[in-house]
Amino acid sequence: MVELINEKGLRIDGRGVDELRPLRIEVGVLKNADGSSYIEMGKNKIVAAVYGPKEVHPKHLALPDRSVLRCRYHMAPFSVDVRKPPQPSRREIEISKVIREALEPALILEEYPRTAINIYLEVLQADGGSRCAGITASAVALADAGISMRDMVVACAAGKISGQVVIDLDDTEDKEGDADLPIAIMPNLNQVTLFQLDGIMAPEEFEKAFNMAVSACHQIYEVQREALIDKYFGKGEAGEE
Amino acid sequence: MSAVKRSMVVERLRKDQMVELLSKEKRLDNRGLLDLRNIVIETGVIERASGSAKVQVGNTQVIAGVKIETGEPFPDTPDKGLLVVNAEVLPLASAYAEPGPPDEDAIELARVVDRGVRESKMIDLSKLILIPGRKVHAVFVDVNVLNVDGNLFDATSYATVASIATAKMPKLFVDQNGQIKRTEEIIPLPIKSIPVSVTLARIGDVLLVDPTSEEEAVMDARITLVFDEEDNVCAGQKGQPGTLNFDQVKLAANIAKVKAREVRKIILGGITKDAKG
Amino acid sequence: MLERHSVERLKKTIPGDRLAVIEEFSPSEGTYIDRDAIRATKVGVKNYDLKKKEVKIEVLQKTRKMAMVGDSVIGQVEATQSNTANVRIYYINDKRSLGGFTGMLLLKSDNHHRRDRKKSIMLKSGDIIRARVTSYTNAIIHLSIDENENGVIYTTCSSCGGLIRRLNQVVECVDCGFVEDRKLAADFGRAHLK
Repeated sequence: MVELINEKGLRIDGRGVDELRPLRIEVGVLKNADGSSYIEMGKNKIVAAVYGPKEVHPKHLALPDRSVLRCRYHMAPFSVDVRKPPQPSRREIEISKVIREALEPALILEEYPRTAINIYLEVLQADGGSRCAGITASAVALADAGISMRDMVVACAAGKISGQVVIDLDDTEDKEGDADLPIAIMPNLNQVTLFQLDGIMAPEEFEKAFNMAVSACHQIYEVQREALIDKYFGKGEAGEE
Repeated sequence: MSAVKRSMVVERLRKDQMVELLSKEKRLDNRGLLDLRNIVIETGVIERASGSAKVQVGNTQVIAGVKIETGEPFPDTPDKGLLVVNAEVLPLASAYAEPGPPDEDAIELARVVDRGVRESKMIDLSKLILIPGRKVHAVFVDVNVLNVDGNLFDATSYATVASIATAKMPKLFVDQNGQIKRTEEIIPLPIKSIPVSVTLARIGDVLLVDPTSEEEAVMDARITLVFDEEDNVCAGQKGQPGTLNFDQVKLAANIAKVKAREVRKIILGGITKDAKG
Repeated sequence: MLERHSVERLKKTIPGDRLAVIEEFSPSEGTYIDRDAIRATKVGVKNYDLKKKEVKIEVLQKTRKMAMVGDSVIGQVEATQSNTANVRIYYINDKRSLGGFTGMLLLKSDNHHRRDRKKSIMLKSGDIIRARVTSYTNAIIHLSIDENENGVIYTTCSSCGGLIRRLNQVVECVDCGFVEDRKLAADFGRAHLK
């Protein structure tokens, strides 16, 4: 049994229970995409790209009153310890679906009838919480693409390890811990857009974990904002185009 | 990468304009015909991989990761380790790329890059044997194209070569019971050579190096040549339906040989940077 | 200094930011109404028009991907029916467009001053045309080539595929001499594609 929290209350990587891993977001990393971003969250390294609005293929899938949102979450073969075959696994297909459903409520798709908006996520290196990092990166890429959005979407997990509630689980904590609760929220509209739970928690632990995940999302949201402002207004001095 | 949805007529009109420009030895990005774009090579970018490299050639961006596993040798080469090079043009890389298994272009890309590594004897595959005929090291190189702006052959080759050259693995041994055990010792792959790929395009009567997507869209033919450190040519491929005349093939080989020396310095720079880190 | 910095920062907005309440302002570009609040839908700069009582976001995104009414587009005629043609759009306002959108062109002129009323072969499949977006009804891009600068900018002979030269309102094949109707753009044969 792995000891995930030591007697000082610190986790394996030295973090406190309510501390995020190092987080970095960059905007506009790919030239061809209409919008793009790159996120590092712990050891996660993920590129997100948005193409669209564009014409739907095949055409009969087009909707007369709104855009069709598509999402592909994919892991590079070298992103995990044992080489992963390139073709999408069932896990990747499910995650693609929940990510799409986590982002869709934030998008004003009615502005783009008969079109498609495609979101592509490539996990270059996977750590715990890659779906959350993927959602956070996608929202930034969508804003970079200029797709009309009701709000940003930001995601983070909370969970239970060694009997304690913590946020932002890494790979080891995810595998060895007792429970994992990834959520995504719209931070201004106070709505939950992704909710998954994997493991056992008492009701009061669940509520605590949920609250901690929400406040972690708000911290990450500030990093999203900084990244977008940096890209569009330049770093540091104000008034620079 | 695939040419779907491109208008042939639009490309033909643009080609006429480009041929006119090239006849004045000018390119759309103001490069000379034999000028390479800026090449940036970063190694050790993916900690979970045995070796990795991110390469930018102008706006073309690729990332390669090496995984070293154990496997059975091919029946016809029982005394050699395995090398598998796989390339994918991710749907995020261009408006033309689609999700799905690699198309013929991506497979050609991977095979040409593989050939350069294999034929230059970059990795001494005979040193990758654990149990002759039964267990060998298997070196998987996966290359993901992140942004397409032409010359994927060279960018993919540089990333593949840089990731292999910087790959490290735990030293394995076979105990008296025939079990494979790992040691604490971390060793590099047995590297014998560094192959360097250079690609040229023919547009009209003009040969140019390191074509962009715009140039590739109108090129008549493409030719890739791979060189080892002694200027020996060790792999090559002509692509596209157009032809090259005899003189053009020889000229391309001469240009590529000189350019390969230039690129070799950049690759070696990218590889050694990792060693200290 | 700190004061000024935070004022500057407050003008910069990302989607979801609350801009005003609906009692005080009305929503304009780049905004939407969420119950009693007006919020931003884009990255940009907040702009309050105190006279009109409007709030909008000045958008900073690079290019527009969808053609809008009034835009000039260049595309290729993909198919012609009896009175419409489908046009695949490759350029919007002289900028390359990779969205893959198609527009619809009505093959009859609304311009009653035009003398040539033979509309049967104004263009054929494969032609490259310049057109203007006239409406976006039912999410279909409607195009028109009535204006002088609009029309066919590149075509080949529909009989032999040869090169074509202009003869007033018709074109003649340089190779086989076949003559046919085309609505040509003013700069036919001289258009430059980026």
